[in-house]
Amino acid sequence: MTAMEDALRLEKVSKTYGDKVRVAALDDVSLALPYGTFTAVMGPSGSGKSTLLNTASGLERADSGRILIGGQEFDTSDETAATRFRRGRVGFVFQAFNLLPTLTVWQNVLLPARIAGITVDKRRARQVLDRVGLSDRLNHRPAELSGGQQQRVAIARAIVTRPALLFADEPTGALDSARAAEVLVLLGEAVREYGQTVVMVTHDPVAAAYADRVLFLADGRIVDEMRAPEATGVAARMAAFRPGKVAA
Amino acid sequence: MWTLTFSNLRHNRAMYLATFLNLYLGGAILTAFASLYESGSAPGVSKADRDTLQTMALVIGGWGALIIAFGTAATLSLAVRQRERQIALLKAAGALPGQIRRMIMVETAALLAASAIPATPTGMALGRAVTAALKSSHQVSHGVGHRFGATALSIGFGDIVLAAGGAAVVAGRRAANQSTAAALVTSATDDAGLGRKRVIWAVVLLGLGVNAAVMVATMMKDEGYDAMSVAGQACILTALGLAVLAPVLIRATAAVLGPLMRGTGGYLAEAELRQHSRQAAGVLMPVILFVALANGALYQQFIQDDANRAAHLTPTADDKGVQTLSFLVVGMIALFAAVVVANLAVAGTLHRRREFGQRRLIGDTPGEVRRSLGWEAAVVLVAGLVSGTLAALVGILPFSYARTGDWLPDQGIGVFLGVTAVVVALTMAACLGAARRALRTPALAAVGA
Repeated sequence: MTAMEDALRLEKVSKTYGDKVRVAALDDVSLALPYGTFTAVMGPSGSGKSTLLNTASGLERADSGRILIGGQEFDTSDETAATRFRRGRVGFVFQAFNLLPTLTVWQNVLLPARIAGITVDKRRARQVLDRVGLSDRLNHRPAELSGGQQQRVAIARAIVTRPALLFADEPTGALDSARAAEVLVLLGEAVREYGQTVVMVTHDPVAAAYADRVLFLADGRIVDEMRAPEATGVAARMAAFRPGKVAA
Repeated sequence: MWTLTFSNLRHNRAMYLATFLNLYLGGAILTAFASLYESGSAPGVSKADRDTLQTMALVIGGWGALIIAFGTAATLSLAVRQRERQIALLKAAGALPGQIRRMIMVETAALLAASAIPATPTGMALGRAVTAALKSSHQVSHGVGHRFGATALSIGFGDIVLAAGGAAVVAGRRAANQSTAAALVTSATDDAGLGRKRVIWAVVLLGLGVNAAVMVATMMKDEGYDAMSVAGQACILTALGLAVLAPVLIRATAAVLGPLMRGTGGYLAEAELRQHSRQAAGVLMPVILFVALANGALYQQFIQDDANRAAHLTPTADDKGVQTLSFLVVGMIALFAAVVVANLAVAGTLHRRREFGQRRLIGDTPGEVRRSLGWEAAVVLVAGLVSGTLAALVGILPFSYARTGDWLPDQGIGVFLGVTAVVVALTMAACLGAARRALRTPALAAVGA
């Protein structure tokens, strides 16, 4: 398998925090995620889940190792370079939605394309908003929507420019289970229908079960993985972490 | 509540520092002018000296008081508005509206008390300097002593306390009465619609300003310094009237410049200005006052100088002294307005860290965020320069007509360009400097905060 076939590839990536007491958040992590896959990352608090997502997406610089997106090495030397690299390649969905309050739903969804200076494909934007069930809310502002609706806008925003990689950080963390299921189905569709690659950090075994593969992280290393996961199996694997490491 | 006050002071440092600076400078300037009044009412001062000192204290100190009260109220209400979310969390945790109001009053009182400590000696020194300038220009006799006592302190700080207290009551009532649920949602728009009260204020102030201008042009021909003082009032009243309309001026300017902004990285700036026009309006108000006051006072002084020169061929020492004095006075009040501009621009920009973080996560580079903020500052400046110049002209044109018979002064636009350069440099430096600092927080940390 060559690097070109992987949407995301990490080679020996390490990241430590702290000056006096050094805590390894990522310890020599290597992984490869092929195009069109849906991967969940799980682990106890402090295991390095968020650090993995942040370094893989270039939001934080790794101390060592290489990060390749679509076979190209991620230039994280400064924020401007990293941002330009990320545009069009990477989309984000966060627990806190992060929609801009002054813009309408329609403007929020078109914003990444506008920022990147790409011609806005309005037909596709309309299609995507239709898909997430918000075509009748185009002129609403985020404050006028429910949490589930806001997260669906955020997903539409993340997929409208067709980035190869979609990072989701606890995307269902602020939602009830019915709303969470809608969001997870949409992420699954992004993979199967649009061919995008989704990496989702979550602590919820039910959410993880929507993925094709679950990676388990502990103390900054990938310690286990599970393919075609089921919620009960994931929950059992997570429970096994508890005696060893108390959540920080 | 005291514990909370001090933890608040620590956590909102930029905004509190801004408020503190504002109260300090305002207190110093106002006690300085109040000390002239006190010096004039001392026993043994001749009637002429008393009149000069007290008129100066009341007229100039009075206008200064108006501008300082305005600036202080604007700064304080911004400080409270920036904390809507924190206040909502307190209410969600069980704080009663009365407790919120008390918290804001206690914070304001603490800042006032702290600012009075350095303001008192500064005011004393300023008052002494003005008295010395009056003596050297022979406007008061050399025997007059400078007095800075209970009267100066109570009048000087009284005005600041009234302005700050009034602003704290209004801001506290709004914060206390807002529903907790509404405050916890990031506000989409800030309902900056023109309230009826605002319109009435604007109409009254603009009417008084135009009235003063008409008086100068029709009834005050050949009256030197009196015409100058009424023309000054025309300019300040018009500027205050326009400042009250600041949110509308911001939205109108953003609408006019919109097409230009959208093509050049100002798309989000336009949305921000039209939806959150109050924030930008806070910076616009002191910009209008600064531009109007600096241009108005300087041009009137130059017109007066030229008229005097034409009349008695050589300027007397007194004319020179009056000129120095009026520059000193205008300088102080303009400095105050400049500090308010810088304060509000810096505090307002630093407060938007989270929004900048969101924009960077979506794909804006730090340079693009700065460019868009540059556009916001540019809109404020265009609105402020146009309105401020308009207000200055309301004072300058009739004064020029009264003194020289020509509506247009022949002093050229050098002073105007100088004032413009100062206000542009100040506003841009404050906005972009604060943006640079806000962008130093990594995007993720900024969004999580």
